[in-house]
Amino acid sequence: MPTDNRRIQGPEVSTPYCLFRCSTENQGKIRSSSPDFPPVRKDGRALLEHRKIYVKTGVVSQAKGSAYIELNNTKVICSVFDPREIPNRVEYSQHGELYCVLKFAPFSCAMRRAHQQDSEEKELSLNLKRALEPAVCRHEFPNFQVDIYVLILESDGGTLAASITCAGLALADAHVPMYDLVTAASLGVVRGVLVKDPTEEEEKVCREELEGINQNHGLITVSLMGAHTQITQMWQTGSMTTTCVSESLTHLIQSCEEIYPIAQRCLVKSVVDTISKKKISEQ
Amino acid sequence: MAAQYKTIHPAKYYRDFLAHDLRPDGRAPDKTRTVTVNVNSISTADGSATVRIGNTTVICGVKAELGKPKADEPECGFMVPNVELPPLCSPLFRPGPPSEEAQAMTCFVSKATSEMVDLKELCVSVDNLAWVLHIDMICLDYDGCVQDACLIALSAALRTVKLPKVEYDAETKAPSVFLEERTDLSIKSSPVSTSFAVFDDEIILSDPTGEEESLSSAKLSVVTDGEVIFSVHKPGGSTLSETQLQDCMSIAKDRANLVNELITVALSPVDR
Repeated sequence: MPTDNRRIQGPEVSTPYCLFRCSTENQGKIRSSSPDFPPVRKDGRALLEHRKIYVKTGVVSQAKGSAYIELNNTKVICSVFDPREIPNRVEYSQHGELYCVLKFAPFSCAMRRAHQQDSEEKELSLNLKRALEPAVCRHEFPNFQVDIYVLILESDGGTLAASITCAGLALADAHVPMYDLVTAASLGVVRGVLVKDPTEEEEKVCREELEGINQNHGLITVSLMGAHTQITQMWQTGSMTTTCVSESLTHLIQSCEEIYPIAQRCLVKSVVDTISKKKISEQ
Repeated sequence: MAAQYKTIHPAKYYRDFLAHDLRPDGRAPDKTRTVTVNVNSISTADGSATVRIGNTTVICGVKAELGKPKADEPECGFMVPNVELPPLCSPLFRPGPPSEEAQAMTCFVSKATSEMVDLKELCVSVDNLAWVLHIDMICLDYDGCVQDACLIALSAALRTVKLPKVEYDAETKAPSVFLEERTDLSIKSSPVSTSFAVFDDEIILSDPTGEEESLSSAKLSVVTDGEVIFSVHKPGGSTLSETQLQDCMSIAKDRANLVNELITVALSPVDR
């Protein structure tokens, strides 16, 4: 392994203490309860109930545009900077580019994350870019790129959906020309049961394939341009029948449409705030 | 009009304000910004805190792991503090390995905190098992005095860490962790750093913003806990007189007391 001499290094091997926990009764409980999905969720939500959302724009003073989103324990912050010329590019590109970097904070997950970007983060960055691209008027800034940085402060399921919504808001806050606002939602399927906006624990159950039972399981994330009802990106993993997928899709579009007015109101509020601040400073 | 003037001639813009003993944000030169401390902001971390100084925001998370102690220090645990200045916090930074500034800040913070926790207390079994505290400070908004915010965040986050009880079986070489029995870390000192910027070689600005930092001719940081001074760092730049240095130290001491009080208040349980 290459050593990183730009950071302070701990010992070469260190293991999370949770692996050595010895309270046996607790461990048994988790194992026995995880395969069958409880009809009532741990946080008391109904199966098709989305978590409460908190969004705020203009959180980073140094960035052109920024946003923060919170879905209970999932916390994501995003900032967007002024377009700049694409570095090290010889040929002229007709469309502007979105440069997305998504990063998990080292303390954001149950297991500690490395400082370098790993493959999962790369994949999520790419998905984020694909979800946002159709909504941005890229022909308006040819040969330029807009930097979008997303940092996941705490991850508890639905990180990609939260990142997309957050980045969409940050782009709007940065006055980047867009056709529409992008909102996203996630849904999990386990044993043919649809679960909206799963938490990390529920996502883990959805990912597992149960032995012997060939039933629908998996996760879907969909991002939508609300005013046009056009899907910008859809990401499905696991195995599902086509009817299950189309049923999930209707539910997901519904949740995206529910999130849309929340995002809109947040933007309206930030505009009103800026205008009133300007008035005060002019007086 | 003011905005254009500021863009064309930022130094003169500041001078005009300072002629009236004021800064563009309305502070007197010796006034510091408001500090906000929030503890236990991240539930996946073993200890965490978010600190804001004006616009500057730093989040600190502590992850505890178990590892084997170093051969030359078999009875010591590890503290691994790292400051990260991600591209998210300011247009000055690009993605990639930590910049020189981030490395310098990491160094500053690790020196200031080396006295805070007795590494021997982090040992579970000599030469076999010890706690490794990965402390990551991430700047979310870069608007001056980031190192001060890092240190406050770290000091608050360490106070929220509750380590579970661990027993090490020397024969089977297997540790067992009791998640229900948790103890606080004992923190020996509470250093607080206060930064100053020297403007036009003579005016000292306490707790400068990012803009003021970039226009300043010298910088000064004082680390103190209100009584003892841990370090005074003035890397080059314009010269200072002794009285000016004394003034800075007294401001730093007052602020250290204030910040430490703030951390205690933030840590005290709240009825919800």
